[in-house]
Amino acid sequence: MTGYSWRHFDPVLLAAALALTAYGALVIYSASLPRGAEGVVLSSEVQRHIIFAAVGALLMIAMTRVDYRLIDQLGWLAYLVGVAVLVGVLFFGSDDFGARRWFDLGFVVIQASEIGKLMTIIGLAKFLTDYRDRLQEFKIFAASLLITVLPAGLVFLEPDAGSAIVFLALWLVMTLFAGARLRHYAVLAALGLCAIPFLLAANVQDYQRDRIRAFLDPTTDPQGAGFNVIQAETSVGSGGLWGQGLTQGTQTQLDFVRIQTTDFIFSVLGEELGFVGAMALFALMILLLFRILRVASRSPEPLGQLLAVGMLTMVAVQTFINIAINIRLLPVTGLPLPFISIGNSSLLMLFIGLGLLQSVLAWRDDHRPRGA
Amino acid sequence: MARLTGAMDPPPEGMPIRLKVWILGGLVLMLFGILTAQLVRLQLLRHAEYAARADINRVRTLDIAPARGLILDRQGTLLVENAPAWRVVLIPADVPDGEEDRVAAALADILDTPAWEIEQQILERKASNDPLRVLVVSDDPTDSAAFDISTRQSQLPGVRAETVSERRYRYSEQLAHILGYVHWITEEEYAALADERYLYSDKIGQTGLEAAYESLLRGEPGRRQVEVDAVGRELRELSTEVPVPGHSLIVTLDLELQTHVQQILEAHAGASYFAAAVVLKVDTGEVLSMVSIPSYDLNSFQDGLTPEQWTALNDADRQPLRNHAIADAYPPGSTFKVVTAAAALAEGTVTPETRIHSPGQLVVDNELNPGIQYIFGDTVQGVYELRFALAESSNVFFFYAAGGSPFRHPDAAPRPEGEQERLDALTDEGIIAGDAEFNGVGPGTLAQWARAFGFDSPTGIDISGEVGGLIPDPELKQSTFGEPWVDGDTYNFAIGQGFVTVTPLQMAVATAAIANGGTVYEPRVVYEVRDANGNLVQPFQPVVRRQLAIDPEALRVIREGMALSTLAGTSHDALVALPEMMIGGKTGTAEFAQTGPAIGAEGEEGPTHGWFIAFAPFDDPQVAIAVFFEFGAGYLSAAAGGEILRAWAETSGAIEDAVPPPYARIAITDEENERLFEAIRARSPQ
Repeated sequence: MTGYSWRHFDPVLLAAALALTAYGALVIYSASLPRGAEGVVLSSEVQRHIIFAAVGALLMIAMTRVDYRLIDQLGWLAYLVGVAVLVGVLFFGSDDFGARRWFDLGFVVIQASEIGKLMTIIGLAKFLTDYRDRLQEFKIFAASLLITVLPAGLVFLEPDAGSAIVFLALWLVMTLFAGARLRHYAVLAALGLCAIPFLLAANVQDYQRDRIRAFLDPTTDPQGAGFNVIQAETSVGSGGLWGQGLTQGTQTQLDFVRIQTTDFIFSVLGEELGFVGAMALFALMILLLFRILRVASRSPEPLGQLLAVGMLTMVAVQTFINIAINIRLLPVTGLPLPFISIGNSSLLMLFIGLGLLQSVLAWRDDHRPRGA
Repeated sequence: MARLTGAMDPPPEGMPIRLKVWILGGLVLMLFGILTAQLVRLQLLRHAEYAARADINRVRTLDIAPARGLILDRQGTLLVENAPAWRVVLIPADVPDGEEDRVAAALADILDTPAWEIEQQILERKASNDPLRVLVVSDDPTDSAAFDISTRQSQLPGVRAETVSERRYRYSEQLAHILGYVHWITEEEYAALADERYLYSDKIGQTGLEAAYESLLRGEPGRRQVEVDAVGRELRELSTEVPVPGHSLIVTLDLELQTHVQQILEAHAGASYFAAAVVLKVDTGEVLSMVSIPSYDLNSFQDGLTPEQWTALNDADRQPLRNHAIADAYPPGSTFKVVTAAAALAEGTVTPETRIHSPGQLVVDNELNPGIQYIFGDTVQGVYELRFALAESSNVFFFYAAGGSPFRHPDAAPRPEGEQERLDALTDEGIIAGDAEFNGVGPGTLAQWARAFGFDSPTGIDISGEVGGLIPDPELKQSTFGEPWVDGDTYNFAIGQGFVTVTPLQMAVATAAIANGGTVYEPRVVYEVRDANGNLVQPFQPVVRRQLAIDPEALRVIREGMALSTLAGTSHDALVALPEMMIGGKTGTAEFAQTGPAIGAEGEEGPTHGWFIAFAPFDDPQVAIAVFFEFGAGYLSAAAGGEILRAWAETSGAIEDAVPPPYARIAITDEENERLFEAIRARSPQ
């Protein structure tokens, strides 16, 4: 047993994550700047973002030391904890605008779906590794879907359709990567198509219908659901090449865009830092995502590869959906922009997930036989 | 894709990890590629459009209403001023969604109006394409209501009580028809005038000077650009453009004279539903006074009308809102004879020496049936020259002058014993009598002259609501009534009856032209226009509408006839009112209820308008007047006219230099007439 090696620690991965978080802190600073503030005022949101980034970075480094192959023993436990959290939030979560998505612990707010996502990545990676030889069987394939649908369904009940979509994306990419048969997807797709009308009738909430309608034609209701879509688009468009300058965006500073520290933070970045600022964000994101991919290609065995692919999917899909909403490519669903949006749980889970990947790198030379 | 996915299918180890990683990397780049493409579109290609949208969000342009121009008389007396008043407005977009009913209820409570009405208006406006446009909730809230709204601002988002300026008319009773009134701009007007930067808070002149000089009185609105946040709070001012106040009007009217004229009309109104009078300066067209009674209170429009006031204003008989001096035309009766006289002299149809015999009526035979005769009556009989025909208002003289000798059917029954002989004897003396050959001016030419004097079209006075009246001619009758013109029409035309209608102002303008030697002026109520600082913007400039192509001597003859009328004719009551000053006048008693071709001798028993036109002083004409009573007679109007001229003479000081007429009583004998005429001739200006 050769154990872990710090030689394989990826400082670029850490640096990219920290750079993104710092970028996020900068944008949050502007978005949460009190009107008429003199000089630099760090709101509590900015402070928390920085604190949680620091804690996250430490956790990431600490995770390196932990053998990720503990998942062999504890993977299911982790998954069940994730499911338990999602069930618990439905009963004990704090009620907020008709949704139960958070545990309010007083000093910190925990978003259940963020824990659920990471735990589902772990659960799926464990399952797909264990059954990789039988994944061609439809029942194994279907079981992988069930493992995903359980937490996804719970998240959907909160309700949080955006996060539920991320779960399904995780399953799709991870099973494809693991080598599931395309024929089986076709069968599921056919079944799913038949079920859609029933699902819609039963489950699509009024606010979701409004959001979709507002996306298709925001002008029908300029003050309501469509308001933010139009204003976010206006913000980004008015940014131009160089942006209005940090803290200088009128759309942001005069509160024309709502929820601008979370779901619509990209509109702030787009308005104040412009196309150049957005490209800088994309560059950092792509750097991070490619370092995650590097983990997949360096890991000699499927569990590590699948963990990396899961993390890649989670970050990439959330980033894409969040920005696409801000620039009117997709209808509104509430999803944070990884590393940039305010969201303590999101930030912590991201760093823990990346720490898991550092562990994969660190332990890659330890060729202990699986299942020993 | 099919090939790739095929490769991903069995066997499990079919696709190397490395390839899968490459594919995932490619997908990641593709996702960011999509986002980048959209960002290029929004931020680089359509940036200007979005930047403009962001500015529209941020910058709100608030208009600042200009102060409306004042109206003063030439002594500097303020006739119209602006006074502050309250009104309650709201910006529908600033009323939060779902709170419309609460805001409406609170407003309804304060203003004592139905809540549903306010709520409905708010909702309608919010759904419209301009929810930022101000909605006027109340035009005249009480002071306490305005105060309530100001103090309860936080409970009434979007609502505010603002001070606006309101017109105050100082001499409303005397000047109502001249000044006119304004009202808040209506939705329709606002839409129609959108290009001229009218504001929701603007008032628009509806009648009188307020309407005619709207563009000068209004001024130019200023604007304030302010930065607002998402809930409409003003954060800072970006720029201010100061409004330009409207120009002030200095009117030609003499307030004191105007007051006198109104009192005189009221004193003489009798059973008239309405009456009007105009005093013009003959050599400029300036309106020194223009009165229409009954009048009304302009201020009442802004204070809100009581039901009684509303009923009074809408009186169908008296029509207080109408300026009877210009807004309606009436048959002028014998006052029109001055026009017929001018036409006949100018065309050479008659000379001052032409003598025409009036047997007290004119008999016209029907062209087909000699048994049918039309009688055109006269109030006097005898042999008349033009001056005396004017003085005593002989109808027959002007029948001949306009229409020539009457048609006598060849088969007509022979005249009674001796009459033909008397007519022949008159003819032998060179007097026009009976059906002896004599050609009149004719209706077409008379119509041309009437139009030259300014009839049949608005005079062009600078207040709104003027009508043109009607001067008939054969073509017009044919095209309007489908009937041919007959001689009787010419006879009626000659004495201002039949189809002829004129406004009192037109009558005054024509009288001024006779007095000033043939210049037809466009009457003016505004003397000059000054800006808010008192700088002259538009000086007074008389506007000559036409110079009559007539020998001044002809007009002189008419003036002499008019002087004779006051000294020895129907206008004598004017002389009684103003014996100190020699003047010229002409009465008119016009039938109006009966229609038909014939003015029978008994026709004058029907209801008549009373008219009087005059100029003064005779020696050096300065003013011309026209007086009109809806129900009256010429000689009664002459009395009122004399008093009006006295009021003018006294207020202007002209009475100081006045020279009394040579005779102050009606001449009786031919010799006295001759001496009287000589005396007039001696003083008659060229």
